[in-house]
Amino acid sequence: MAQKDYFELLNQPRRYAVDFVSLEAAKTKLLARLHPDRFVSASALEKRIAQQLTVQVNEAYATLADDLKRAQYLCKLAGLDVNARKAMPPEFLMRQMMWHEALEAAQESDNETLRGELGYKVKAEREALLAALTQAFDETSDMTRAYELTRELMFIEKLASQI
Amino acid sequence: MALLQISEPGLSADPHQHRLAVGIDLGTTNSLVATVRNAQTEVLADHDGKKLLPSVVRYMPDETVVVGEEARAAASDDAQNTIVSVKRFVGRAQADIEHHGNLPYQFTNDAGMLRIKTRAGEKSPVEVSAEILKTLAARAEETLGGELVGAVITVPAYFDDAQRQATKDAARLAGLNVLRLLNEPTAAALAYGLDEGAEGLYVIYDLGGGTFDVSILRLTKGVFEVLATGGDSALGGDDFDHRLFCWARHEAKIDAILSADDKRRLLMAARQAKEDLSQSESASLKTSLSDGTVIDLTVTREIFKSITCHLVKKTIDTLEAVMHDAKLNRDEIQGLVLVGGSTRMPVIREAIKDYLGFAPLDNINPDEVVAVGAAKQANMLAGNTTGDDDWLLLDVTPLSLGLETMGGLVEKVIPRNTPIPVAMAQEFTTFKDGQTAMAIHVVQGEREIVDACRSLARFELRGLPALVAGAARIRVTFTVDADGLLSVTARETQTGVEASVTVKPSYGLTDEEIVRMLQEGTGSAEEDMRLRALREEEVEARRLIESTVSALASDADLLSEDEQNTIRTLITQLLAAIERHELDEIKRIEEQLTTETESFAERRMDRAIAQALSGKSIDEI
Repeated sequence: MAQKDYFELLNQPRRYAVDFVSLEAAKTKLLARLHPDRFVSASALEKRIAQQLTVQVNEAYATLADDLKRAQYLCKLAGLDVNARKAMPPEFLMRQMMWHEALEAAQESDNETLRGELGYKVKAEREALLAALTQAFDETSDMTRAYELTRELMFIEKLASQI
Repeated sequence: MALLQISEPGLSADPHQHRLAVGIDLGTTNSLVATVRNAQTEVLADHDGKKLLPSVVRYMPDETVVVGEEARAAASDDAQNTIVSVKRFVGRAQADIEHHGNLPYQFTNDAGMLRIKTRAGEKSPVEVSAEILKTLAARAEETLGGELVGAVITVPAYFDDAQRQATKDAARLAGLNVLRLLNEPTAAALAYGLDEGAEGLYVIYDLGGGTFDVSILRLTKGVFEVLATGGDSALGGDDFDHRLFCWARHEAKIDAILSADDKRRLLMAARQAKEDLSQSESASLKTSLSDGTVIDLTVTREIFKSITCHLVKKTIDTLEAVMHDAKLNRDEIQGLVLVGGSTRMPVIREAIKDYLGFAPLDNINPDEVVAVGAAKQANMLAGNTTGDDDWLLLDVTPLSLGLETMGGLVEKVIPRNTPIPVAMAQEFTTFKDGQTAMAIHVVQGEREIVDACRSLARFELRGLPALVAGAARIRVTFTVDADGLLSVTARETQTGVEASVTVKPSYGLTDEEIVRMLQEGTGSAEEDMRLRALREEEVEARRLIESTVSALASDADLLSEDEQNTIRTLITQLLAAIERHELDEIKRIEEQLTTETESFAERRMDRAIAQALSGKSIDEI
């Protein structure tokens, strides 16, 4: 069975900016119809298809509802591999280094304030990236920029989890 | 009983015929069976009007089996043959059983499978559980006056794959058709949500006799969505009993090794004292041992609190961890619902109030709410509801699932709290040049080291192309179904070589053993096996016919004239084969019909998707 792309499946426009309410509603409507619980007395064939589709809906939702996964998915649809060991621009590497240093400092100093401050900075950086991603994907259609920003977001998410 | 009968759900000339389905709460201490009758949910009682069935099974000298209150009453006179709290042993290996020194049982290990020595032989926890289920099924069929179409059986949310499979096997052994394995907190949330019309974020805190679950759900109109779940499948009221047991031994200075009967006596006295403390500030812990020693102690709420505070703390720590997983703060929670008899303990209620900042809700019956929820779900799954008010239960997998990789590490493939059903894949490669086989070891748990996780299954993928190390691409796909059960396939993507395993626990009964026990139960042999297989195939064939006929009625426009004719012909042939009771013929035509209708089914599903999204009915499209 031809696999629809996640945006198609959940009836959402293929964009970075997402309407979470609409996304959630689509998921619920589909699951209400396709969930295995609706096919308890059905034939083995129908059960199998229902499960496959439900799995796809769950996967699609999990991808589109997550800011990072959605960006990665849009890159994938454009044929760009975010996991490729591609050289990143020097300014990006410089910023990575600075963030690493800040993280180390916060971790070593055992200072709650320092950690808190870093947390705020990371959060602000994340917000800025999300706005820039929306612009790159949806407004200027600059896939090169979108790809770089996605890589940056991957880095920031990882950093955030370490604070 | 000559033959285990399998009903044919979904096939009724009368669309208004009510199908008999039940919800079963198979608890550690007590079990219940409930059903929806005349739009009311009822917990079914026995001849004495008692709803709770003590989960106690006694193997008698005359080779009969006694289940329930009668067994419980005699427990301390025949402790070794009276199995109490068997749920603590289901899907476990002997090494997993804590306090087994305090228990009056002799455990054995049969190729990794736990058995309990009784006068009736070595019993598997699966068999013992089946006895409880049989009793409840009989109670239901007698009360309702007919055969059950199926049952929803509840399990702790934190039960792992082995424990779930074992529970399903117990149901099979008891002759029950399992409509769904339902997580206990989800069942409770369903009952609470439907009966109270509740909406918002709720915590279900379920402390039973032997298991502990915390689930956080979002309740919205018709949708019950689990956000995160956690727990401990070896923490419950029994552990509080054990603390008092140890305290009493210490206070009464009893150092000698106790007999099985004496252990049971003291455990029961400890339990009684614990329960009394829920009503008063102090309680008496009193019993006489077989050598005449009298234990007569007074335990206060304060003493009880101090000797059990680490157990209570464990539950609060888990609650905190689950809130963190769900990314929620305390002030976002609408309410916390208490489930399970052990939540009657004041130490629990106080601790929850301290942590949350508000008192937990207790306006539901903590003993019955799980069975009630299961009954409502069973009623819907059996096909008794109209569809307009049907709800949706969206659950998650409680424990991460992964594979063993080089160095005894675990690579997680499906993280915990992932909505189910789910399928996730991970690619692996070979370690050595020319490696032609790969050992796949599936584990469950949160730890990074394989030895700290639960081993679920091992299998091999053979026939890999002999390549340089790291060149092969092996894609391992994990699928967890709506019951929370796992299946795994491994595929070498370049050659298409495949292997799969249905994850079966090492701690239950083998399929052969179950078949043998079923045969023994009916008192006959091969004849029954064939009849059973025939009957099952006929049921499946009828389902296929029914769904195809109904599909033709509504969506024939998706097919060409030729396709329709081919399908109709096959249906006629299949019906004829069923009439002739020819198993091989039925299978053959069924397969043909499945192949013929596969793309039709897919097209119908596509249409259903479009309908669902637009909210229009078929007539409007």
